[in-house]
Amino acid sequence: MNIDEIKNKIKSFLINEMPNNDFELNDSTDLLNEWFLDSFGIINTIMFLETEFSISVSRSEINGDNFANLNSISVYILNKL
Amino acid sequence: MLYEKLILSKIKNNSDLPCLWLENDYLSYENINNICLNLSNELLSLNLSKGDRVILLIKNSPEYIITFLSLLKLGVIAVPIDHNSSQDRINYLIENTNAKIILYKIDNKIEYDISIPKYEIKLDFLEKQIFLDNKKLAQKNSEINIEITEEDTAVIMFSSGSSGRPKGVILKHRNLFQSASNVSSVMNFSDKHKELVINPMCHSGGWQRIPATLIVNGSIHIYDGLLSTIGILEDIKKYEITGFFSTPPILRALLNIKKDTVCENVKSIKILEIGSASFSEVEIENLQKIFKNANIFIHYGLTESSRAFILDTNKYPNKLKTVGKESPTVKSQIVDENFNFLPKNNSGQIIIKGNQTTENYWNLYEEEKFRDGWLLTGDYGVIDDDGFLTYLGRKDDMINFGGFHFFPDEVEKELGPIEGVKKYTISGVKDLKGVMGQVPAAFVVPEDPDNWTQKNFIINAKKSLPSHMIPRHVIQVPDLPLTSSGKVDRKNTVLLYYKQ
Repeated sequence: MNIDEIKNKIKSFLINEMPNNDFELNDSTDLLNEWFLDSFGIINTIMFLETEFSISVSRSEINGDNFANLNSISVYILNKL
Repeated sequence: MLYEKLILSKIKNNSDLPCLWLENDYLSYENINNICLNLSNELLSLNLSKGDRVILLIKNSPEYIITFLSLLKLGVIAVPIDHNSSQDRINYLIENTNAKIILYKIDNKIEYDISIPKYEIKLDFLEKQIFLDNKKLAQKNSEINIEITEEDTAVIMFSSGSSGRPKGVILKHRNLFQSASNVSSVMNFSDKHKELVINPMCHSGGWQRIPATLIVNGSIHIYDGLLSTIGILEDIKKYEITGFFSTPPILRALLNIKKDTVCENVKSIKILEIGSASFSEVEIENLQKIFKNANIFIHYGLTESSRAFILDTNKYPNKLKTVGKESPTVKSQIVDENFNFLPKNNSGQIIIKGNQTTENYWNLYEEEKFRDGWLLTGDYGVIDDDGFLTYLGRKDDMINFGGFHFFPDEVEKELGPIEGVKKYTISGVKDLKGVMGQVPAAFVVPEDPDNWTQKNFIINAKKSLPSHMIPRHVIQVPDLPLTSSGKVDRKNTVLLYYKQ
Protein backbone atom coordinates (compact mmCIF):
# COMPACT_ATOMS: atom_id res chain seq x y z
CA MET A 1 0.00 0.00 0.00
CA ASN A 2 1.43 3.39 -0.89
CA ILE A 3 0.96 6.67 0.91
CA ASP A 4 -1.76 7.95 -1.42
CA GLU A 5 -3.88 4.85 -0.92
CA ILE A 6 -3.51 5.19 2.84
CA LYS A 7 -4.37 8.86 2.67
CA ASN A 8 -7.49 8.26 0.60
CA LYS A 9 -8.78 5.63 3.02
CA ILE A 10 -8.30 7.91 6.01
CA LYS A 11 -9.74 10.89 4.17
CA SER A 12 -12.80 8.93 3.19
CA PHE A 13 -13.24 7.81 6.81
CA LEU A 14 -12.96 11.35 8.17
CA ILE A 15 -15.34 12.85 5.62
CA ASN A 16 -17.95 10.12 5.90
CA GLU A 17 -17.75 9.28 9.58
CA MET A 18 -16.94 12.69 11.02
CA PRO A 19 -18.32 15.30 8.67
CA ASN A 20 -17.41 18.87 9.46
CA ASN A 21 -19.12 21.48 7.36
CA ASP A 22 -16.96 24.33 8.58
CA PHE A 23 -13.68 23.24 7.06
CA GLU A 24 -12.30 21.73 3.88
CA LEU A 25 -10.26 18.59 4.44
CA ASN A 26 -6.94 18.65 2.67
CA ASP A 27 -3.51 17.17 3.45
CA SER A 28 -2.62 19.90 5.89
CA THR A 29 -5.95 20.66 7.57
CA ASP A 30 -5.30 20.96 11.29
CA LEU A 31 -7.25 17.95 12.55
CA LEU A 32 -6.90 18.60 16.27
CA ASN A 33 -7.93 22.23 16.19
CA GLU A 34 -10.23 22.33 13.19
CA TRP A 35 -11.61 18.99 12.14
CA PHE A 36 -12.32 16.95 15.26
CA LEU A 37 -15.30 18.36 17.10
CA ASP A 38 -14.44 16.70 20.41
CA SER A 39 -12.06 14.28 22.08
CA PHE A 40 -13.98 11.32 20.69
CA GLY A 41 -12.66 12.20 17.24
CA ILE A 42 -9.28 10.77 18.23
CA ILE A 43 -10.80 7.73 19.95
CA ASN A 44 -12.85 6.84 16.87
CA THR A 45 -9.99 7.50 14.46
CA ILE A 46 -7.65 5.22 16.38
CA MET A 47 -10.25 2.43 16.36
CA PHE A 48 -10.61 2.86 12.59
CA LEU A 49 -6.84 2.83 11.95
CA GLU A 50 -6.33 -0.31 14.04
CA THR A 51 -9.08 -2.19 12.22
CA GLU A 52 -8.45 -0.90 8.70
CA PHE A 53 -4.67 -1.30 8.64
CA SER A 54 -4.37 -4.17 11.15
CA ILE A 55 -1.97 -2.26 13.31
CA SER A 56 -1.70 -1.62 17.01
CA VAL A 57 -1.44 1.99 18.14
CA SER A 58 0.46 2.59 21.35
CA ARG A 59 -0.11 5.42 23.82
CA SER A 60 3.17 7.14 23.02
CA GLU A 61 2.24 7.31 19.34
CA ILE A 62 -1.01 9.17 20.04
CA ASN A 63 0.42 12.64 19.93
CA GLY A 64 0.03 15.97 18.21
CA ASP A 65 2.79 15.19 15.71
CA ASN A 66 1.33 11.95 14.35
CA PHE A 67 -2.27 13.17 14.44
CA ALA A 68 -1.66 16.74 13.28
CA ASN A 69 -3.08 16.30 9.78
CA LEU A 70 -3.93 13.82 7.05
CA ASN A 71 -0.37 13.81 5.81
CA SER A 72 1.22 13.08 9.17
CA ILE A 73 -1.23 10.27 10.00
CA SER A 74 -0.57 8.68 6.60
CA VAL A 75 3.20 8.81 7.07
CA TYR A 76 2.79 7.35 10.53
CA ILE A 77 0.67 4.47 9.20
CA LEU A 78 3.07 3.80 6.30
CA ASN A 79 5.92 3.43 8.78
CA LYS A 80 3.90 0.95 10.81
CA LEU A 81 3.07 -1.34 7.87
CA MET B 1 -13.22 28.02 54.27
CA LEU B 2 -13.18 25.24 51.71
CA TYR B 3 -9.42 25.58 51.28
CA GLU B 4 -8.86 24.80 54.97
CA LYS B 5 -11.00 21.69 54.76
CA LEU B 6 -9.33 20.43 51.59
CA ILE B 7 -5.68 21.28 52.17
CA LEU B 8 -4.68 22.95 55.45
CA SER B 9 -6.31 20.45 57.78
CA LYS B 10 -4.29 17.64 56.18
CA ILE B 11 -0.85 19.10 56.79
CA LYS B 12 -0.93 19.01 60.58
CA ASN B 13 -0.79 15.22 60.80
CA ASN B 14 1.27 14.21 57.81
CA SER B 15 3.43 16.65 55.88
CA ASP B 16 4.31 14.17 53.14
CA LEU B 17 0.84 12.94 52.21
CA PRO B 18 0.68 12.59 48.38
CA CYS B 19 -1.86 14.91 46.80
CA LEU B 20 -1.14 15.35 43.09
CA TRP B 21 0.74 12.91 40.88
CA LEU B 22 2.74 13.44 37.72
CA GLU B 23 3.74 9.99 36.57
CA ASN B 24 5.61 8.58 39.58
CA ASP B 25 6.39 11.89 41.27
CA TYR B 26 4.00 13.62 43.55
CA LEU B 27 3.32 16.89 45.28
CA SER B 28 2.30 16.44 48.89
CA TYR B 29 -0.52 18.37 50.52
CA GLU B 30 2.17 20.50 52.15
CA ASN B 31 3.84 21.18 48.78
CA ILE B 32 0.48 22.19 47.36
CA ASN B 33 -0.14 24.50 50.28
CA ASN B 34 3.24 26.19 49.82
CA ILE B 35 2.70 26.65 46.09
CA CYS B 36 -0.81 28.02 46.65
CA LEU B 37 0.54 30.43 49.23
CA ASN B 38 3.06 31.77 46.73
CA LEU B 39 0.49 32.12 43.99
CA SER B 40 -2.12 33.69 46.27
CA ASN B 41 0.34 36.31 47.44
CA GLU B 42 1.28 37.15 43.86
CA LEU B 43 -2.39 37.43 42.86
CA LEU B 44 -2.96 39.80 45.78
CA SER B 45 -0.22 42.01 44.40
CA LEU B 46 -2.25 42.23 41.17
CA ASN B 47 -4.89 44.06 43.21
CA LEU B 48 -7.30 41.19 43.32
CA SER B 49 -9.60 41.21 46.28
CA LYS B 50 -12.36 39.07 47.72
CA GLY B 51 -15.38 38.81 45.43
CA ASP B 52 -13.47 39.74 42.24
CA ARG B 53 -13.90 37.41 39.27
CA VAL B 54 -11.01 35.71 37.51
CA ILE B 55 -11.39 33.67 34.35
CA LEU B 56 -9.58 30.33 34.27
CA LEU B 57 -8.70 29.37 30.72
CA ILE B 58 -6.65 26.40 31.81
CA LYS B 59 -6.59 22.92 30.34
CA ASN B 60 -6.77 19.89 32.62
CA SER B 61 -3.46 20.07 34.45
CA PRO B 62 -1.96 20.42 37.94
CA GLU B 63 -2.00 24.16 37.28
CA TYR B 64 -5.81 24.10 37.10
CA ILE B 65 -6.14 22.62 40.58
CA ILE B 66 -3.48 24.85 42.12
CA THR B 67 -4.99 27.99 40.62
CA PHE B 68 -8.51 27.08 41.69
CA LEU B 69 -7.35 26.35 45.24
CA SER B 70 -5.37 29.61 45.39
CA LEU B 71 -8.46 31.58 44.40
CA LEU B 72 -10.48 29.78 47.09
CA LYS B 73 -7.89 30.92 49.61
CA LEU B 74 -8.36 34.54 48.56
CA GLY B 75 -12.14 34.48 48.31
CA VAL B 76 -11.73 35.43 44.66
CA ILE B 77 -14.39 33.90 42.41
CA ALA B 78 -13.18 31.47 39.74
CA VAL B 79 -14.91 31.54 36.36
CA PRO B 80 -13.71 28.39 34.53
CA ILE B 81 -14.00 28.23 30.78
CA ASP B 82 -13.18 25.41 28.39
CA HIS B 83 -9.69 25.93 26.95
CA ASN B 84 -11.05 25.32 23.46
CA SER B 85 -13.68 28.04 23.75
CA SER B 86 -14.50 30.41 20.94
CA GLN B 87 -13.42 34.03 21.01
CA ASP B 88 -17.09 34.97 21.21
CA ARG B 89 -17.67 32.93 24.37
CA ILE B 90 -14.57 34.34 26.06
CA ASN B 91 -15.65 37.90 25.24
CA TYR B 92 -19.12 37.17 26.59
CA LEU B 93 -17.77 35.82 29.88
CA ILE B 94 -15.35 38.69 30.36
CA GLU B 95 -18.13 41.19 29.84
CA ASN B 96 -20.79 39.30 31.77
CA THR B 97 -18.69 38.72 34.88
CA ASN B 98 -16.65 41.91 34.63
CA ALA B 99 -13.60 39.72 35.24
CA LYS B 100 -10.40 41.46 36.30
CA ILE B 101 -7.86 39.10 34.77
CA ILE B 102 -7.49 35.83 32.90
CA LEU B 103 -5.19 33.08 34.08
CA TYR B 104 -4.39 30.68 31.25
CA LYS B 105 -2.57 27.55 30.20
CA ILE B 106 -3.46 26.25 26.79
CA ASP B 107 -1.51 24.25 24.25
CA ASN B 108 -3.43 24.81 21.07
CA LYS B 109 -2.50 27.30 18.42
CA ILE B 110 -5.55 29.50 18.76
CA GLU B 111 -4.62 33.11 19.43
CA TYR B 112 -7.20 34.82 21.55
CA ASP B 113 -7.72 38.55 21.51
CA ILE B 114 -8.18 39.25 25.20
CA SER B 115 -9.31 42.67 26.41
CA ILE B 116 -8.21 42.31 30.06
CA PRO B 117 -4.78 41.48 31.57
CA LYS B 118 -3.81 37.85 31.06
CA TYR B 119 -1.18 35.78 32.82
CA GLU B 120 0.17 32.39 31.92
CA ILE B 121 0.37 29.90 34.77
CA LYS B 122 3.09 27.30 34.69
CA LEU B 123 4.19 24.77 37.25
CA ASP B 124 7.63 23.18 37.47
CA PHE B 125 6.44 19.97 39.06
CA LEU B 126 9.81 18.56 40.04
CA GLU B 127 11.12 21.83 41.46
CA LYS B 128 7.75 22.52 43.09
CA GLN B 129 7.79 26.05 41.72
CA ILE B 130 5.00 28.08 40.23
CA PHE B 131 5.53 30.69 37.50
CA LEU B 132 3.31 33.57 36.43
CA ASP B 133 4.20 34.79 32.94
CA ASN B 134 7.56 33.02 33.28
CA LYS B 135 8.30 34.82 36.54
CA LYS B 136 9.28 32.41 39.29
CA LEU B 137 7.24 33.28 42.35
CA ALA B 138 9.11 33.84 45.59
CA GLN B 139 8.63 31.60 48.58
CA LYS B 140 6.19 33.17 51.02
CA ASN B 141 5.86 32.07 54.60
CA SER B 142 3.23 34.48 55.85
CA GLU B 143 -0.31 33.11 55.82
CA ILE B 144 -3.02 35.11 54.12
CA ASN B 145 -5.74 36.17 56.51
CA ILE B 146 -8.86 36.86 54.55
CA GLU B 147 -12.06 35.88 56.27
CA ILE B 148 -14.09 33.59 54.08
CA THR B 149 -17.38 32.06 55.10
CA GLU B 150 -19.29 29.14 53.66
CA GLU B 151 -21.77 31.60 52.19
CA ASP B 152 -19.14 33.30 50.01
CA THR B 153 -19.20 32.50 46.31
CA ALA B 154 -16.41 30.17 45.20
CA VAL B 155 -17.07 29.70 41.51
CA ILE B 156 -19.38 30.68 38.67
CA MET B 157 -19.77 27.72 36.32
CA PHE B 158 -21.28 28.61 33.00
CA SER B 159 -23.58 26.11 31.38
CA SER B 160 -22.76 25.07 27.84
CA GLY B 161 -25.67 27.22 26.70
CA SER B 162 -27.50 24.89 24.39
CA SER B 163 -30.37 27.36 24.39
CA GLY B 164 -29.56 31.02 24.27
CA ARG B 165 -26.62 32.56 26.08
CA PRO B 166 -24.61 30.64 28.70
CA LYS B 167 -25.95 30.90 32.24
CA GLY B 168 -23.56 31.37 35.16
CA VAL B 169 -24.35 29.03 38.04
CA ILE B 170 -23.20 30.54 41.33
CA LEU B 171 -21.72 27.97 43.68
CA LYS B 172 -20.73 28.93 47.19
CA HIS B 173 -18.04 27.34 49.34
CA ARG B 174 -20.88 25.53 51.12
CA ASN B 175 -22.27 24.12 47.85
CA LEU B 176 -18.89 22.77 46.73
CA PHE B 177 -18.14 21.25 50.11
CA GLN B 178 -21.50 19.50 50.31
CA SER B 179 -21.17 18.03 46.78
CA ALA B 180 -17.68 16.79 47.56
CA SER B 181 -18.79 15.36 50.85
CA ASN B 182 -21.75 13.60 49.20
CA VAL B 183 -19.57 12.01 46.54
CA SER B 184 -16.93 10.79 48.97
CA SER B 185 -19.38 9.50 51.59
CA VAL B 186 -21.95 7.80 49.33
CA MET B 187 -19.26 6.23 47.14
CA ASN B 188 -17.06 5.28 50.10
CA PHE B 189 -13.87 7.05 49.07
CA SER B 190 -11.00 6.04 51.37
CA ASP B 191 -7.66 7.69 52.08
CA LYS B 192 -6.17 5.21 49.57
CA HIS B 193 -8.35 6.66 46.83
CA LYS B 194 -6.36 7.52 43.69
CA GLU B 195 -8.43 9.43 41.19
CA LEU B 196 -7.85 9.57 37.44
CA VAL B 197 -9.24 12.79 35.98
CA ILE B 198 -10.32 12.41 32.38
CA ASN B 199 -13.26 14.79 32.12
CA PRO B 200 -12.77 18.55 31.82
CA MET B 201 -12.37 20.14 35.21
CA CYS B 202 -14.04 23.31 33.93
CA HIS B 203 -17.35 21.40 34.11
CA SER B 204 -19.09 20.34 37.27
CA GLY B 205 -18.88 16.60 36.45
CA GLY B 206 -15.09 16.60 36.25
CA TRP B 207 -14.35 19.16 38.95
CA GLN B 208 -16.46 17.84 41.82
CA ARG B 209 -14.36 14.66 42.02
CA ILE B 210 -11.30 16.76 42.95
CA PRO B 211 -12.56 18.13 46.29
CA ALA B 212 -14.24 14.76 46.95
CA THR B 213 -10.81 13.13 46.71
CA LEU B 214 -9.04 15.80 48.76
CA ILE B 215 -11.58 15.60 51.60
CA VAL B 216 -10.59 11.99 52.31
CA ASN B 217 -6.81 12.61 51.94
CA GLY B 218 -6.80 10.83 48.57
CA SER B 219 -4.60 11.70 45.62
CA ILE B 220 -5.11 12.75 42.02
CA HIS B 221 -3.62 11.77 38.69
CA ILE B 222 -4.60 13.90 35.70
CA TYR B 223 -4.84 12.25 32.28
CA ASP B 224 -2.37 13.94 29.99
CA GLY B 225 -2.27 14.05 26.21
CA LEU B 226 -4.82 13.22 23.56
CA LEU B 227 -7.70 11.26 25.04
CA SER B 228 -7.79 7.62 23.96
CA THR B 229 -9.14 4.40 25.43
CA ILE B 230 -5.63 2.93 25.18
CA GLY B 231 -4.32 5.84 27.22
CA ILE B 232 -7.03 5.52 29.88
CA LEU B 233 -6.38 1.79 30.30
CA GLU B 234 -2.65 2.33 30.40
CA ASP B 235 -2.91 5.04 33.07
CA ILE B 236 -5.24 2.95 35.21
CA LYS B 237 -2.87 0.00 35.22
CA LYS B 238 0.41 1.89 35.44
CA TYR B 239 -0.62 4.22 38.27
CA GLU B 240 -2.93 1.77 40.08
CA ILE B 241 -5.87 4.10 39.81
CA THR B 242 -8.77 3.24 42.12
CA GLY B 243 -11.54 5.42 40.72
CA PHE B 244 -12.72 7.71 37.96
CA PHE B 245 -15.76 9.51 36.63
CA SER B 246 -16.83 9.17 33.03
CA THR B 247 -19.64 10.07 30.69
CA PRO B 248 -21.23 7.16 28.76
CA PRO B 249 -19.47 7.61 25.36
CA ILE B 250 -16.02 6.77 26.78
CA LEU B 251 -17.40 3.72 28.58
CA ARG B 252 -19.17 2.61 25.42
CA ALA B 253 -15.83 2.86 23.61
CA LEU B 254 -14.29 0.68 26.34
CA LEU B 255 -17.10 -1.85 25.89
CA ASN B 256 -16.06 -2.12 22.24
CA ILE B 257 -12.54 -3.22 23.12
CA LYS B 258 -11.70 -6.89 23.67
CA LYS B 259 -13.11 -7.77 27.09
CA ASP B 260 -9.98 -9.53 28.38
CA THR B 261 -7.80 -6.54 27.54
CA VAL B 262 -10.02 -4.18 29.52
CA CYS B 263 -10.41 -6.60 32.47
CA GLU B 264 -6.65 -7.02 32.71
CA ASN B 265 -6.08 -3.27 32.90
CA VAL B 266 -8.84 -2.18 35.27
CA LYS B 267 -8.31 -4.57 38.18
CA SER B 268 -7.36 -1.72 40.53
CA ILE B 269 -10.60 0.22 39.95
CA LYS B 270 -12.86 0.16 42.99
CA ILE B 271 -15.19 3.06 42.21
CA LEU B 272 -16.56 3.95 38.79
CA GLU B 273 -19.00 6.84 38.53
CA ILE B 274 -21.15 7.44 35.48
CA GLY B 275 -23.11 10.57 34.90
CA SER B 276 -24.56 13.18 32.62
CA ALA B 277 -26.51 10.99 30.21
CA SER B 278 -28.63 7.89 30.14
CA PHE B 279 -27.06 4.47 30.37
CA SER B 280 -29.15 1.34 29.94
CA GLU B 281 -29.48 -1.56 32.36
CA VAL B 282 -27.77 -3.92 29.89
CA GLU B 283 -24.83 -1.57 29.51
CA ILE B 284 -24.42 -1.32 33.30
CA GLU B 285 -24.42 -5.12 33.55
CA ASN B 286 -21.84 -5.34 30.76
CA LEU B 287 -19.63 -2.87 32.61
CA GLN B 288 -19.98 -4.88 35.82
CA LYS B 289 -18.56 -7.89 33.97
CA ILE B 290 -15.49 -5.89 32.98
CA PHE B 291 -14.94 -3.77 36.10
CA LYS B 292 -15.07 -6.85 38.30
CA ASN B 293 -13.58 -5.27 41.44
CA ALA B 294 -15.48 -2.02 41.17
CA ASN B 295 -18.71 -0.70 42.51
CA ILE B 296 -20.45 1.31 39.81
CA PHE B 297 -22.36 4.44 40.74
CA ILE B 298 -24.78 6.29 38.51
CA HIS B 299 -25.67 9.86 39.32
CA TYR B 300 -28.29 12.35 38.36
CA GLY B 301 -27.44 15.99 38.74
CA LEU B 302 -26.84 19.24 36.98
CA THR B 303 -24.35 22.04 37.47
CA GLU B 304 -26.96 23.77 39.64
CA SER B 305 -27.22 20.74 41.92
CA SER B 306 -24.37 18.32 41.46
CA ARG B 307 -24.94 14.60 42.20
CA ALA B 308 -28.40 15.19 43.68
CA PHE B 309 -29.23 11.49 43.27
CA ILE B 310 -26.77 8.62 43.32
CA LEU B 311 -27.38 4.95 42.59
CA ASP B 312 -25.17 2.33 44.22
CA THR B 313 -25.51 -0.48 41.67
CA ASN B 314 -24.01 -3.16 43.94
CA LYS B 315 -26.38 -2.36 46.75
CA TYR B 316 -29.49 -2.01 44.59
CA PRO B 317 -29.14 -4.40 41.62
CA ASN B 318 -32.90 -4.34 41.05
CA LYS B 319 -32.94 -0.56 40.59
CA LEU B 320 -30.65 -0.26 37.57
CA LYS B 321 -33.27 1.61 35.57
CA THR B 322 -33.18 4.43 38.12
CA VAL B 323 -30.59 7.05 39.02
CA GLY B 324 -30.77 6.24 42.71
CA LYS B 325 -31.80 8.00 45.88
CA GLU B 326 -31.38 11.52 47.24
CA SER B 327 -27.84 12.41 48.32
CA PRO B 328 -27.28 13.68 51.88
CA THR B 329 -29.13 16.99 52.59
CA VAL B 330 -31.05 16.77 49.29
CA LYS B 331 -34.83 17.05 49.33
CA SER B 332 -36.80 16.44 46.17
CA GLN B 333 -40.34 16.47 44.86
CA ILE B 334 -42.12 15.83 41.60
CA VAL B 335 -44.49 18.62 40.57
CA ASP B 336 -47.06 19.20 37.88
CA GLU B 337 -47.25 22.30 35.68
CA ASN B 338 -49.00 24.25 38.43
CA PHE B 339 -46.32 23.41 40.97
CA ASN B 340 -48.52 20.95 42.86
CA PHE B 341 -46.54 18.22 44.60
CA LEU B 342 -47.44 14.86 43.07
CA PRO B 343 -47.74 11.54 44.90
CA LYS B 344 -45.13 8.79 44.38
CA ASN B 345 -45.08 7.00 41.03
CA ASN B 346 -46.39 10.03 39.12
CA SER B 347 -44.28 11.69 36.46
CA GLY B 348 -43.61 15.39 36.46
CA GLN B 349 -40.87 17.95 36.80
CA ILE B 350 -38.10 17.21 39.33
CA ILE B 351 -37.53 19.94 41.91
CA ILE B 352 -34.62 19.92 44.35
CA LYS B 353 -33.26 21.71 47.36
CA GLY B 354 -30.20 20.96 49.43
CA ASN B 355 -26.89 22.25 50.67
CA GLN B 356 -25.18 21.59 47.36
CA THR B 357 -27.85 23.35 45.30
CA THR B 358 -27.35 26.83 43.85
CA GLU B 359 -29.76 29.57 44.80
CA ASN B 360 -29.36 31.86 41.80
CA TYR B 361 -27.58 32.62 38.55
CA TRP B 362 -25.00 35.28 37.99
CA ASN B 363 -26.50 38.53 36.69
CA LEU B 364 -29.72 36.82 35.75
CA TYR B 365 -33.03 36.33 37.46
CA GLU B 366 -34.95 33.35 36.15
CA GLU B 367 -38.33 33.25 37.75
CA GLU B 368 -39.19 29.84 36.36
CA LYS B 369 -36.03 28.22 37.84
CA PHE B 370 -36.43 29.07 41.53
CA ARG B 371 -39.54 28.94 43.71
CA ASP B 372 -40.01 28.73 47.49
CA GLY B 373 -36.40 27.62 47.96
CA TRP B 374 -36.68 24.90 45.30
CA LEU B 375 -34.63 24.59 42.14
CA LEU B 376 -36.89 23.70 39.21
CA THR B 377 -34.62 21.47 37.17
CA GLY B 378 -36.50 21.43 33.87
CA ASP B 379 -36.00 17.64 33.97
CA TYR B 380 -38.82 15.15 34.17
CA GLY B 381 -38.89 12.03 36.30
CA VAL B 382 -40.76 9.66 38.58
CA ILE B 383 -39.95 8.76 42.20
CA ASP B 384 -41.02 5.29 43.31
CA ASP B 385 -42.22 4.10 46.71
CA ASP B 386 -38.64 3.39 47.83
CA GLY B 387 -37.45 6.91 46.92
CA PHE B 388 -35.60 5.96 43.72
CA LEU B 389 -35.76 8.45 40.85
CA THR B 390 -36.26 7.36 37.25
CA TYR B 391 -35.02 10.09 34.96
CA LEU B 392 -37.28 10.61 31.98
CA GLY B 393 -35.53 13.45 30.19
CA ARG B 394 -35.22 17.17 29.59
CA LYS B 395 -38.38 19.19 29.36
CA ASP B 396 -36.92 20.63 26.13
CA ASP B 397 -36.43 17.13 24.68
CA MET B 398 -39.94 15.90 25.45
CA ILE B 399 -41.64 14.44 22.40
CA ASN B 400 -45.29 15.25 21.91
CA PHE B 401 -46.54 12.58 19.55
CA GLY B 402 -50.14 13.48 18.92
CA GLY B 403 -50.78 13.96 22.64
CA PHE B 404 -48.51 11.15 23.90
CA HIS B 405 -45.75 12.79 25.92
CA PHE B 406 -42.50 10.92 26.42
CA PHE B 407 -38.76 11.43 26.44
CA PRO B 408 -35.93 10.25 24.18
CA ASP B 409 -34.08 8.90 27.23
CA GLU B 410 -37.05 6.68 28.10
CA VAL B 411 -37.05 5.23 24.60
CA GLU B 412 -33.28 4.71 24.60
CA LYS B 413 -33.37 2.98 28.00
CA GLU B 414 -36.12 0.62 26.88
CA LEU B 415 -34.38 -0.20 23.61
CA GLY B 416 -30.88 -0.63 25.08
CA PRO B 417 -28.01 -1.66 22.79
CA ILE B 418 -29.07 -3.06 19.40
CA GLU B 419 -27.13 -5.69 17.48
CA GLY B 420 -25.44 -4.26 14.40
CA VAL B 421 -25.82 -0.69 15.66
CA LYS B 422 -22.75 1.16 16.86
CA LYS B 423 -24.77 3.97 18.46
CA TYR B 424 -28.04 5.81 18.05
CA THR B 425 -30.13 8.54 19.53
CA ILE B 426 -33.81 9.28 19.59
CA SER B 427 -35.26 12.73 19.06
CA GLY B 428 -38.59 14.30 18.27
CA VAL B 429 -38.82 15.76 14.77
CA LYS B 430 -41.54 17.74 13.08
CA ASP B 431 -44.24 15.58 11.54
CA LEU B 432 -44.04 16.63 7.92
CA LYS B 433 -47.58 15.42 7.33
CA GLY B 434 -48.71 17.89 9.97
CA VAL B 435 -50.87 15.30 11.72
CA MET B 436 -49.07 14.35 14.91
CA GLY B 437 -47.15 17.55 15.68
CA GLN B 438 -43.99 15.61 16.37
CA VAL B 439 -42.88 12.08 15.65
CA PRO B 440 -40.03 10.10 17.24
CA ALA B 441 -37.03 9.61 14.97
CA ALA B 442 -33.97 7.40 15.40
CA PHE B 443 -30.58 8.61 14.18
CA VAL B 444 -28.49 5.49 13.78
CA VAL B 445 -24.79 4.82 13.24
CA PRO B 446 -24.61 1.18 12.01
CA GLU B 447 -21.63 -1.12 12.60
CA ASP B 448 -21.56 -2.06 8.94
CA PRO B 449 -23.48 0.47 6.82
CA ASP B 450 -23.42 -1.79 3.73
CA ASN B 451 -25.15 -4.67 5.48
CA TRP B 452 -27.64 -2.86 7.59
CA THR B 453 -31.23 -1.91 7.00
CA GLN B 454 -33.70 0.39 8.70
CA LYS B 455 -36.04 -2.59 8.83
CA ASN B 456 -33.82 -4.37 11.37
CA PHE B 457 -34.00 -1.39 13.65
CA ILE B 458 -37.77 -1.17 13.45
CA ILE B 459 -38.16 -4.92 14.14
CA ASN B 460 -36.12 -4.46 17.34
CA ALA B 461 -38.05 -1.37 18.32
CA LYS B 462 -41.39 -3.12 17.87
CA LYS B 463 -40.29 -5.88 20.24
CA SER B 464 -39.56 -3.58 23.15
CA LEU B 465 -41.51 -0.33 22.71
CA PRO B 466 -45.14 0.68 22.97
CA SER B 467 -46.46 1.75 19.59
CA HIS B 468 -46.32 5.51 20.15
CA MET B 469 -42.59 5.34 20.97
CA ILE B 470 -41.55 3.38 17.88
CA PRO B 471 -39.49 5.70 15.66
CA ARG B 472 -41.40 6.79 12.58
CA HIS B 473 -38.17 7.70 10.84
CA VAL B 474 -34.92 5.75 11.01
CA ILE B 475 -32.13 7.85 9.61
CA GLN B 476 -28.70 6.39 8.96
CA VAL B 477 -25.96 8.85 9.90
CA PRO B 478 -22.14 8.70 9.89
CA ASP B 479 -21.74 9.91 13.48
CA LEU B 480 -23.53 11.64 16.32
CA PRO B 481 -22.32 15.08 17.41
CA LEU B 482 -21.57 15.51 21.13
CA THR B 483 -21.81 18.45 23.47
CA SER B 484 -18.68 19.63 25.28
CA SER B 485 -19.61 17.52 28.28
CA GLY B 486 -19.79 14.34 26.19
CA LYS B 487 -23.54 13.93 25.83
CA VAL B 488 -25.14 13.29 22.45
CA ASP B 489 -26.19 16.67 21.10
CA ARG B 490 -29.75 15.88 19.98
CA LYS B 491 -30.53 19.35 18.71
CA ASN B 492 -27.47 19.38 16.46
CA THR B 493 -28.16 15.83 15.31
CA VAL B 494 -31.58 16.90 14.06
CA LEU B 495 -30.18 20.07 12.46
CA LEU B 496 -27.41 18.16 10.70
CA TYR B 497 -29.33 15.18 9.43
CA TYR B 498 -33.05 15.87 9.32
CA LYS B 499 -34.09 17.72 6.20
CA GLN B 500 -37.31 19.53 6.94
